[in-house]
Amino acid sequence: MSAIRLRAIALRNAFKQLGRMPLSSLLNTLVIGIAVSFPLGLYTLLINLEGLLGQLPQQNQITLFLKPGADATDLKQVQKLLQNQPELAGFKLIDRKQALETMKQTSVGSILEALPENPLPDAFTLMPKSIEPTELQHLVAVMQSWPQVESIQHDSDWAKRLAALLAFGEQLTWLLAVALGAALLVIVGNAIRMQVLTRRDEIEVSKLIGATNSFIRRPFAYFGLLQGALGAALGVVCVTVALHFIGPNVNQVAALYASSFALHLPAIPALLGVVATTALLCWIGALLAVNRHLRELEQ
Amino acid sequence: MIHFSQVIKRYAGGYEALRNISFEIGDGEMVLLSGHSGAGKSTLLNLIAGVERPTSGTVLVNGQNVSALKRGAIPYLRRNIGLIFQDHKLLFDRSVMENVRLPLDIAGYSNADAQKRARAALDRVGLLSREKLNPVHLSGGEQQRLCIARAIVHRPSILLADEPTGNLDHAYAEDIMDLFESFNQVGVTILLSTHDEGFLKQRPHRILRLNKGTLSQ
Repeated sequence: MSAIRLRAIALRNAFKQLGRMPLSSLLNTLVIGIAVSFPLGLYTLLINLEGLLGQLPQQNQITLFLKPGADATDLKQVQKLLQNQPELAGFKLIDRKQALETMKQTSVGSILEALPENPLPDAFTLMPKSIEPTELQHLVAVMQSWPQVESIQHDSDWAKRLAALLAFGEQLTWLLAVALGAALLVIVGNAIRMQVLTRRDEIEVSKLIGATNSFIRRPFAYFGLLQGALGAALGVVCVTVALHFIGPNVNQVAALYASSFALHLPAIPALLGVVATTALLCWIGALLAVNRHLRELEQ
Repeated sequence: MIHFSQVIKRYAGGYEALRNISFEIGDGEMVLLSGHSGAGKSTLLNLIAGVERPTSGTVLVNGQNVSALKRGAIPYLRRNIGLIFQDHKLLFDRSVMENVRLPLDIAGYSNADAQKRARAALDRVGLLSREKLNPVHLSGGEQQRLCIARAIVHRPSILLADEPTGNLDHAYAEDIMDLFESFNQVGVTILLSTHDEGFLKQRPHRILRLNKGTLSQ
């Protein structure tokens, strides 16, 4: 009972402290918020791009376009050639009528309808057996030499590049998070140092009348925890506001590409994780600082 | 209750504040500690409360060897001692009531219990009507009484007072001494230091005289 009560008193003191120095604690909370919003913003961008990557053909898919003027015989010849390719696991014809129908359902459909004739070529989607780049290159080179073929698009190429870029972005996010996490320790440590100095008398008197070190430490640690949680929440708000402003533009760009892609915040558990981690870091920073300064006061 | 045996306190630089001090204060006794300033009175009180440690010798308080006490056990020793300071050591960022409650909050008393006990202590020193004030608005004598209320609020068995009458005029000092005697009458062991010998002679208590770190009874 008394143990709970002691913690309640410490929490109350921490809140009081938060209210007592509105400007400096507000500024500190703001700094924490900004420090959190950088990696969180980058992370948000990454998960959105990853989501976009998920919509892309994950398989190692190759698209083969026939020349615009190709007729039914050309189509048959290519079909036969494809059947004879041992490197292929399968293929599928997307004829120009079918392609037009699909396209009409998207936002560019109206433009297509305005055109006098179907501008789309016949195409095949190919599923190669191997994903080995050199083998694929060989296969692409062979098919490129066929007279009926206009172009070959290896869809996974830029998806791979994007994936590599995302992996790099992820590393960057972690690096940023670690660096700013260390900065958080310093920021909170400094704030606590100022508090310990301004509350020197209170600490000294409390110790003289029987306060344990943990009694003295607790409000500072809770203060750090609260400030960290508040700061992180502010960081989440910053990112949300940024998304709110960027969102419409991204939607517009996505609409131009006939995609329904829209920016969204990380999931709630991830956001809670960010808040909890920041609070924990700030708690540790506060404990480290108060321990160091208590030792100074003891001398 | 308090037992000093061949206690020496030497500070860095070789200065000896206490030289081979031995004495005993019994349970429920009221003892006055006299000596000019710099005689070692504060050092002696600090050794009892575990604020400082002796260079050699033993300090027993309530049967506990303070000189050998672990750092973590010191707070619990102090909860059985009421400390009264010449400079009061009040906290001016909170009310009279909150100042008195501090030892109870530290010990984890419930809110209602703490409030009740703090009121009783304030009443005891005649400051109940001032509980909501900031101690800044109290006179020197009242601040000293507030410091006393804070020292007795958790009912310690020992009171250590370092020059409690030092800054007060004679009438106030008499008041404070009467207050201490009333605590002593209910069984509290009291050790009270002062540099004012003339003032002590009127009181019927044992006097320990410190002179340059040595003791004469």
